[in-house]
Amino acid sequence: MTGVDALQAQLAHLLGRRLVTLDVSRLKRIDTAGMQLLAAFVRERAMHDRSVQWRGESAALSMAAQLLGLSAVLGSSKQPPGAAARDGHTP
Amino acid sequence: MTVDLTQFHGAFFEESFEAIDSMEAALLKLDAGAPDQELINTIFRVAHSIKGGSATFGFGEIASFTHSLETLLDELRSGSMQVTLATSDLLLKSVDVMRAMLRCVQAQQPIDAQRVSDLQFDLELMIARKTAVAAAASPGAAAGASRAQAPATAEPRASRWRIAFRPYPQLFARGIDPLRMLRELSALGALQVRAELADVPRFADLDPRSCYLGWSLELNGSVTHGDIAQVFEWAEGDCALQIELLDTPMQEPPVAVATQPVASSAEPAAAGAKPTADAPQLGAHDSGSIRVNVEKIDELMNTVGELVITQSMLSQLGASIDGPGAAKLRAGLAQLERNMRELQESVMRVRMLPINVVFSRFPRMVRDLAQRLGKQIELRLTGEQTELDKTVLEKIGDPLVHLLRNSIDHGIELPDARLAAGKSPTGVVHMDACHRGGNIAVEVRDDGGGLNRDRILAKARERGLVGPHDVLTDEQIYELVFMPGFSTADQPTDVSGRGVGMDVVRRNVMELGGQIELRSEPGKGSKCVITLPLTLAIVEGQSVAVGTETYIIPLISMVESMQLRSTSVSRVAGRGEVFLFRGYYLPIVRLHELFGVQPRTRDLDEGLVVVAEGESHQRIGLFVDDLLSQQQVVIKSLEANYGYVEGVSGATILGDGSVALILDIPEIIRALSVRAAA
Repeated sequence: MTGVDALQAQLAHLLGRRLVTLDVSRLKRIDTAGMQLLAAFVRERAMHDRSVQWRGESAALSMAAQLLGLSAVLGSSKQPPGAAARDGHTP
Repeated sequence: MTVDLTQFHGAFFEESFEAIDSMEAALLKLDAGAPDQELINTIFRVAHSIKGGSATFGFGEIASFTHSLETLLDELRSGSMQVTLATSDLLLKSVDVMRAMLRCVQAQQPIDAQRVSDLQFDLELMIARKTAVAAAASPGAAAGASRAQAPATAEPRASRWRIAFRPYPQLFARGIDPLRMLRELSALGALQVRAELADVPRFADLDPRSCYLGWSLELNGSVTHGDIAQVFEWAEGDCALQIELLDTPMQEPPVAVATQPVASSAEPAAAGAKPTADAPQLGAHDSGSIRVNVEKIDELMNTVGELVITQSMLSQLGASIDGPGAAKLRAGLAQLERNMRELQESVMRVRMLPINVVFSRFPRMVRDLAQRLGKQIELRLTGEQTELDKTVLEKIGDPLVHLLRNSIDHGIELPDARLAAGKSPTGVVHMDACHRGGNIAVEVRDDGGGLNRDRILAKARERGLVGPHDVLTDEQIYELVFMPGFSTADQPTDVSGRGVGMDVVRRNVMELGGQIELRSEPGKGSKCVITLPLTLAIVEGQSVAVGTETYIIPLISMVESMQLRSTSVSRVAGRGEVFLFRGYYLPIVRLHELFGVQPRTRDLDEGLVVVAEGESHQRIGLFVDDLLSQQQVVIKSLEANYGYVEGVSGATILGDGSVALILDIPEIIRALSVRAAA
């Protein structure tokens, strides 16, 4: 829950970009609220036929995606399910 | 019907703080590698009961945190996880966080969410690592864990459950994270998860603090309905939940269906599935004791005090009555007096608590300090069961903390220095409490370097507290430590050494009517003894007569009484009369002058002098008409009932109904030296 507002603002900026790569290598923890936001973001992009690229790996993210059944949604871009992600740092 | 739960908050906090203390104590005893199962059970029970309580009272954050803690503890309890130093540290940190959260909630202040969630994450990470390892190692491990959670019920059979979990939007705001629940479920068996995103709005319309996700789950494992319901226990009222049995194995009760919200139907099931170990232990904890508000006891105490006065009035009256029934009356009054004394003692005992209440926080403190200072320290506590009055107990904590810190910081040397001095690298700090007469003595002793006599003296000279050529005895030098603002530490550490120390310690002890004494031997260590009265409500006193008035001198301040010959009294200009007592000249204070009353005699030869002692062994001679009796008197606050009077610490009502003032000897000595200096 900490930082979801900031994350939403950051992601909102990226929503319209043609290419979005999220670097998740430094992502150490994420909760359901964050996952929900990411899922909504990826889905929104997909609605406009735009994908999200993931860079790096995050065990926390993979585990959360798997447990919450969101691997498919998040991994709809190039990466296989499980290696999905968050972090607003990278445009 | 709704029940106002706030009325139980006080009891909940009180019990929780106590429980956390016992949890901390158990954690400190927990050995890495070979943990005592009973200790783990104790720790688990504490987390469990705090979780339950905080959930009941709607303290979602605490409930959620303790839930994670409990999960980890359960792993330790079932032996599927080992106790390591890392786990101990994490658990101790959890204790701190729980305590801090409870304090915040109690004070109705916001909780430090970042600190809580960081630690909660660490807890979950530790659990997750274990789960991942176990799942990889053997598929049966998960089932094993679930069995450990429900040993009370019959061995559950492998079954397939369908769970529909639809959180309400406010779920996140309650501090509940579905991720945690799903992780727990996955530990119970093979879990298939399907997220429902239908209700998730478009990105722009999404409120990140609301939960829109829902889940359809299928769980395969040897679990009962209760096991599953327990996982969702904390989302109770904040979600719609349906738990449905898909495959009905033989002999399993047919279909158990819980409808939402989870609360009502699932809770009893969950409770039934909980480890039975809870029941007898909780019973044992409650064995025959009740919680009573201290105010009520004080009231009782006060009433008993009044009764004692009435009784002694009657006794005096009875003694002067003659007649046919007089003997019988006196026998009855004697019986009454005995009963009164017993009653008074019983009520006093109610207020008594073992000093362990204070001692118990020291092991943790010593552990942390030793770690920080890089020292090896063993803390020995003895006499923890020694009882003393609650008020005294509350006020003795801080001085003891200070003494202990001093011992650790200044007393005990670093391991290398100790080895070089031919000592064991581990320093020992010994804290002991025992009864001595009507007092209690608490001793803090260490085997460190002892007080540095020369350094203290040099410092005192530097500050002009001692003249450059004065020769002081060891005792006088140690006395300097108690001067305000005195510290010999070259670099004040954050542990101690800011010079706001020993003088405050002494003042606190004095306020309690106690005394403090410091001894030290270079290279061998130092010892500090605090002597305290058992209670503040009653004082053992010597009553003295001055004219028609009676005054009480606390026995703890009394040294001796004697008859002086006026020839042995000298007059010193500006200082009044002095007399020689054991090699020292003591000033004479005439009580009749001090309080402006008409004495029976002003002649030193006819009256008596009582030698009384205040702070720092300062003594005076009090001139009185006569000594009366030694008795226990019930202290009544003069300030509360009348007003402050210099030199008087309180008052009491005597058997004849008259009021006697209780002298405050240290105060009288202070006033005297101020006057002498002026």
